[in-house]
Amino acid sequence: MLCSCSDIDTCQHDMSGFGMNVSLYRMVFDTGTETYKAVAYSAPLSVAGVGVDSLLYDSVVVSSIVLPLKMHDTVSDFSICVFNQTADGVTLRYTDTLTVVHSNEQKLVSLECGCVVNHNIVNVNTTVHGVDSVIIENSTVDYLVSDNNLKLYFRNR
Amino acid sequence: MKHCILVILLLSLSFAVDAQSDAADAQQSGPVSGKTRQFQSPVFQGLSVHYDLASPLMGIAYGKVMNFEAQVDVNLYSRIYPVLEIGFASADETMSVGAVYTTRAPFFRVGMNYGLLKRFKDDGTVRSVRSYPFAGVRYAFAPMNYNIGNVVVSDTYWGSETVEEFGSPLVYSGWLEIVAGVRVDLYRGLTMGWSVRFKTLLHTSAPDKSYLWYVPGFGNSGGAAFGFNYTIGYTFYARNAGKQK
Repeated sequence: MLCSCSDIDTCQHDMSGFGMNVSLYRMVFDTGTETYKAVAYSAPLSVAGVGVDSLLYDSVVVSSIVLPLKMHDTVSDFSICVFNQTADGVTLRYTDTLTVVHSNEQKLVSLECGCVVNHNIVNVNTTVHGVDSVIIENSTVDYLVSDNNLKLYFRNR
Repeated sequence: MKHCILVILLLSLSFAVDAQSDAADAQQSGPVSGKTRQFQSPVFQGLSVHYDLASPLMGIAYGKVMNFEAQVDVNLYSRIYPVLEIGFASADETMSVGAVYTTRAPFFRVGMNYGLLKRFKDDGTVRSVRSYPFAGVRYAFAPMNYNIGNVVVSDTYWGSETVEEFGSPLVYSGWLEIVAGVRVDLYRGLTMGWSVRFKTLLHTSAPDKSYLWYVPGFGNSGGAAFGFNYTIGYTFYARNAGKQK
């Protein structure tokens, strides 16, 4: 006869809020040094997956965002809408599309928790209506790691 | 580590009780030390073959686990009992998330029981030790395959879903058991016994311990496991068992 003290059939891992971490910056020209420098982004923006109705962020001012990459495809596109903040509200300034090419790796966490899909970012591209550039800081998107993955720079307009 | 300490404490306790009694024996019975006399020839005192009745009954009651096991032990000096236990277990469990875990594999345990009854009475006469309490240890291992099926990988944001299966090649798991129990001679060699066990998983070659919902012979791998055995069998006593040479 066998029995156990463990709490079976209950997932002990936090599997929520897992995705690609993107830090947002605004490029400003420093007249003193006559060079561009990155400062924290501060305009309201909305973000959604291309082809998905549900918004990930809705007209919020944030300095970083978490974007879920596709588990069953290797190209994830995100639409980033940047707004002007006025006294009458917000108006759309421009929309850019961020394209992330990635590989996927299924990992069984446990019988109780099921499976997660970790990613490795292979390449990123973006339209440049308002975005200046994007760089990969850390290509590994792992549910156990919360490191920043991308740096997204906006032009100062 | 704490389990090893517990084993050492148990064995130390039994030896301490033994040594105390033997000192009294030595005072009454002359110059031969009690410790020597406890392990005096003949060495071979008998052999027991037992089958566990508790495991299959509990498996039937539980419905998801089947476990069968038998054991053979050799009686040396009526104090030391090397033990070999062999069994077979299977499990088929569906978790609340829908994933299904299946495994079926044999398992093996080797170890030793230490009889807690002295072989010699205080007056120096030989005791016929046929019923006795014991404490012991086992090292156990199971070469096993497992399969985790119907694992739903759901991409809730992008709206896609797949169902995956994770099988394993042959993996090995090993664990330690601390045992305490009683063996009773019911009638001329017809013997029964019960024992309780505390088990702790030492190692596994599986990619992650959490993949092993059930290890045959051990139980659920998520924590320390307890076991209970009720065995019945037959003991073949040596002809010279219980006699002093």
